[in-house]
Parts: sequence; C-alpha cells; structure tokens
Amino acid sequence: MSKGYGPLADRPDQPVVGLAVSHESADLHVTGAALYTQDLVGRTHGTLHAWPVQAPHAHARVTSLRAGAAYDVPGVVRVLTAEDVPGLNDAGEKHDEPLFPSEVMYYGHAVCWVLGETLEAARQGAEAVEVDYEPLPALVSVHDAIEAGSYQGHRRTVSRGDAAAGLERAAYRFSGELEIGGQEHFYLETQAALALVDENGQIFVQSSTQHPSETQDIVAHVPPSPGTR
Amino acid sequence: MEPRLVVNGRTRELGEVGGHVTLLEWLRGSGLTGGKEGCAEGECGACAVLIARDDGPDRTRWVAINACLVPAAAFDQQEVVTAEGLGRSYGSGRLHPVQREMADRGGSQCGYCTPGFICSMAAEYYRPDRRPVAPADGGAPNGSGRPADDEHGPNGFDLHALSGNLCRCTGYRPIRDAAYALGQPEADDPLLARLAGPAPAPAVTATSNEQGRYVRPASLAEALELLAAEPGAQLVAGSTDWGVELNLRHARAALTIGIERIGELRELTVGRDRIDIGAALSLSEIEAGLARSRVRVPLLDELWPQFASRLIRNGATLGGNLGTASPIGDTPPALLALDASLVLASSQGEREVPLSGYFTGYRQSVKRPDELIKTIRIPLPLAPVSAFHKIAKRRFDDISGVAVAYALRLTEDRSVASILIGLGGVAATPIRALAAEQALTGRPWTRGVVAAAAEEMARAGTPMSDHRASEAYRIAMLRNSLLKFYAETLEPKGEARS
Repeated sequence: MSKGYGPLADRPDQPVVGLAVSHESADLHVTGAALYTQDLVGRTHGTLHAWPVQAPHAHARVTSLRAGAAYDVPGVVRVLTAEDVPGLNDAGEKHDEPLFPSEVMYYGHAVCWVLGETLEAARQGAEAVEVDYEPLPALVSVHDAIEAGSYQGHRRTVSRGDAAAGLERAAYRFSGELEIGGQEHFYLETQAALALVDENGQIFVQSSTQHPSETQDIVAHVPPSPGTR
Repeated sequence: MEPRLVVNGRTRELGEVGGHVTLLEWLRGSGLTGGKEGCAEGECGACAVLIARDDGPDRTRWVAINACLVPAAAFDQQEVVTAEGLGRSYGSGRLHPVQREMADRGGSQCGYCTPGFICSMAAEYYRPDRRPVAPADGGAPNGSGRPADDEHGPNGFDLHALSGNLCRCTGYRPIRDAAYALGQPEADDPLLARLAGPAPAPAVTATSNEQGRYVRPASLAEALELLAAEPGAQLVAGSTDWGVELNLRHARAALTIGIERIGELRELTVGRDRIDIGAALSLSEIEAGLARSRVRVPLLDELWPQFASRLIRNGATLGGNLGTASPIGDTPPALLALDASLVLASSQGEREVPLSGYFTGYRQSVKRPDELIKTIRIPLPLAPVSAFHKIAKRRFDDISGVAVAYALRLTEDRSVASILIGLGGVAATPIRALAAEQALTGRPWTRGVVAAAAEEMARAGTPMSDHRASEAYRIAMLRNSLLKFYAETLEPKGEARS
C-alpha cells in the first residue's frame, strides 16, 4: 500500500527480489550431510593414501634417494619417484614444477610420495625413505632477494613526470621502509584429491580445487596418455 | 566390558583403537563425516562434537570439544552427539533449531566449518543457565531484540561459545544472527531431557593395537602404579596439547594413561586459607566450580577467556598446562602471581613444591617421571588488586608473545605491601619478575616508582625473537605492561575490580 512514496516504493505482488533465500546446500551443511573430497574415502573400496617425503632444506639438490626401507613398513604399497613417470615429470602449468624434483625449491618441498593401505602406513613409509641432499644457497627474506637482485618476474615501477626533480625541490623529504604482513587466504577444507582408475583405464579425479581444468591438464600429462583421460 | 560408546543415541563398538586414534578419525571412519579436520590442532573447530559430561551429581551438560585432539579410547562408555545426530534427535527430516537458524540466516557458504559451528552453538543453546537478558518479544525466537552487549545476545547467548570456531567465507555476522535468534529448548526436546539424569560414569578402559596401549585406570593409586612401572607413559587429560603432538608432530606413545576422570584429580575445595584445584579438572569446570563455591579469583576470571577458546577450555587442564612446562603456557604466570604450589603424587607418596621452584628449564620441571600433578594450591586471602595481560597477535585463541600476571597488595597509604609478577614468553621457563617486584615492594605506588620498576621489567628474563614476537617487542611489552597495570589501578573500575 502506498504511503505517499508512489507505487515504485511499494512491494510488488509475488516479488522475486528482497526475499530471504537459503543456500541451496544449507540443509546439507548444517546436518553434516554435505560431502567433501576427504569424506569420499570411506565410500570407496581399497583406497590408497599418499604421504609426501618433504625436504628439510629451503634450497638443495637431491643427490640420492633410497626408498627400500619404506617397503619394510607394513601396509606400504609403493613409493612413487621420478622413475615412475612415463610422461612428463611436471606438476604445474608452466612446466617449471617437477612432480618429483631433483632440486628442492622450498622447505617442505615433496621429493617423492609413499602410497600405503592406511594414512599411518604411508606416513611411516615416508619417514623410512632416505634422501641425501646437497644444500644450496637460499634467499629467504625480501631483503636477501633485493640484495641478490633476485626478482620474480618484472620489477614494477609506477612513475609520472620527473619524480627525481620533484623530490629535489620538495621542502620535506621522508624515507622509510614498509613491511606488510601479507597472508594467503586459507580455506578450511584441507587439500585433498581422490583418483579412481576405472575399468577402461580412465582416471576420475575429485579434487578440492578451484582449478579443475588445470588439474585435469596436469593429471593428464604425467602418464603417457592423451589429456582426454 | 567391551569398549563401546553411544553416538547419536546408538551404541557402537569402539574396537581396539589404542591410544592414537582420535575421536574425529574414529567418527569419520565409522561413516560420520560431518565433523571435519581443518587444522588438526584445535584452532578451527571444524571437528567440534558434543559430549555428555557431569553438571553436578545428577545432572548432565552437553559440552562441545575438539574431536580432532582427543583419543577415541577416552570415550569408552560415553555419549557423543554430532551434527548428524542433532537433527535426527528431532525426528527424521527435521532440522534442530540451531540447524534451522543457521540454514535460514545464511550461516553457511562452503559449509566445511558449519557442522563444528552447529555443535558449539548447540552446547550454548542447551547451557542450563542461559537466560534471555532482554524482555522476550512475543515469545517467538527472532533476531530483533537488542543484544545485551557486544558478546551476548538478547537470548543470553554467549558469543565466546563460538570463539573456537573459524569460518573463512560466510563471515561471522549471519552466524551471530543465527546464534542470537535462538529461543529456549522446547520442553519435549530429547537432548534437553537428557540433561536431567547423571552423565555416563567414566569407564575403566584398556585397549591396544600395534601402535600402543591406552589405559584408563580406576583410581589415582592405579594410575601411579602404572606410571611407576612405565615412567615413559604419556599422561593425557584434555589432550589439547598431546593431541597437537599426535597430529602434527606424529608423536606416538607406547602407553597412554587417561587421567581426566580420576576422582582424586577432580576435587575442588575452598578452605579458610587455600583453594585446592584438582589437576584434571577442565578449565571450564574450574570456572564453574569456583562460581558455585562463591569464590572469585579475579585474576583467573581475567585469564580464562584469554587462555583459549571454550572448545579448548572444555578439555584443557591446569595439570596439563603445568605438566608440559611450556614457557608460553598462560596459566603459569597467573599461578606464579597467585603464589600457587603444586602437590606432586607418586606411588611413593606426595610432596608439595612451590610453583616458583617447579620449572627447571625449557619444558622441564622438578616433577619426576613417576610423578603426576595432583593438586594446584592457591593460598588465601588473595591479593586485592590483580591483572592479567596477554600480548598476542589475536584477541582470542592465540599463543602468547608475552603474558604478565600481577597480584598487588597496597597499604592504606598506598605503598606496595607486596607484589607478585608472573611472566610467560620471556625466558626458557615461566618466571617471576623478581627485580621489578623488589623495586616496588615497600615503596609508594606512584608513577615515578612504577616507571623505575618498569625498567627492571624490561630487563626481566631473556626474551628472544621468533615468529610470535621479536625480542625488542617483548621487552617493550614488558615495560608497558607494568605502566598499563599502574594506570588500571588508578581507574575507579580498577579499584572496584579488587
């Protein structure tokens, strides 16, 4: 009913906007029924779990890797290394992230993966893998990187006019450094992926990712098969 | 008796879970995947579930805890409710009121944190002393009433109940809207009805698998015998610290001894000259127990919300916080300021040691491997003026960079009769700021005297730089903390607090 504002301020009959609409999965969320990648494990038969062997160096060369002891751990099925890659040893889109690296590029970099019948077996298997590293120099702070002239991509500058002359004429000049505690936004769902090999040798991957097409491409270029799998 | 537990009203065999399978792993393994693993260290709360715990002799309380931290074996013969079970308890196809409000008010987006929020919210929904603080508008639960303050809804909902649950996409406003819109449980609510009877008694449990044994002894004497026989055994109460070791550092113990339900470790008595607090009472139970005994320890009241979230405080114990002897535990500074002592028990007997002489090095203490902490003893009367300052990166649910606790007695002419200052995060152990205490004792409580003592504070300990705080920052915080405490004592509110 109009109260002096004219008909445009009135609510129309059967409005489509301005109504509370629940999330389409809200009832599933609040009851814990909604399924996430990690929840699928219990619904698949004979799932193997993977655990990474992670490098304890920021930068190093892998000089040798001995996986034998992992097989002594009950439940360990397979240790995956670079030798197991029939296609491209690459886990990225720009072909600069080896799936099984010979050069460690950051602390915690996975150098190989252990498959086990249980997560615990895979973890213990990973603990048993022996890796020798030759530590290499590492730049671990922004200051170190600037000093070494090591920049990622372009050095971005914003300029207009003759800044140097402007500064020269300025009544006051201030200089200083600014550090920003930048943080990656972490979603709560842990990174998980479940891969099923079907009766035709096709691989069906369910992954907690925002990049399904990249994931599909990467998964497909590691085995020697066309990307259509 | 076979290890078993009641989950969502249904009895299930626990199986031989040993000491290392967490309640969350067990629940998920049995098909209840509503509870999620987010952080595996008790920060995100995605794993929260409800457990039935004592609330006085013949009453039960629904308590929310982090299922990712606790051994499943600790729940032998216990009752657990998950997000899946909450709705089901209302009949199939119906949502629990907490679930209804969260769904209707947009409290979920990706939904991963939601089942944990639901459980924390349900625990607060059923809190027996939750009462509307504003007149009810017409009876129907809605969000239109004015909140009582920044942290309580018109329905009495304490937002701190959700302080252990993180959401990274919905945002907290719709979640708060849902919390504040809740009414009181209906009279025929089955989970409300459950509160009228006693909680399940603790079981005597022994379970083992290839990775280790879990034993819950029947008495303190049995626990001490076990510990004497296997001094390397891991004592576990709320498991809020050990659970992190299990999940993130993959620590494993051949023998885990569950002690949190042993009667002798759960007593709280207030005498004429001291308060005795059982080492295995959860911090929430101590809070409630002191309130029931009508004793106020303002320093502890100030500490509790800053210590950790409600989810953690529902498990964490003083015995655990002191037993790990971490230099950044938050209870040691407060207990040092309260001049507490510890009763250590072994199969050989008991001894009392002052807390100021308890810590000997980084995560080391005078406690022998065959001893456990039985009681924390706080002498009475309390110093009338106290404060707890926690400097951390987040207001709540964080680990201290620096923690400072004060207990001050002033004479009538406002000189310092005595002051005890406990410090955390500035040395290999929690310490007392003895030089600052000395610089103040017997002197007038004036800005000049305090400022001079603040320089002694700044020299206390051997602060180091790490990811929580730099050495320079820690030193600055020590100095400023004393100045802040002085300023607090000048405010009428500060005086009234005593």
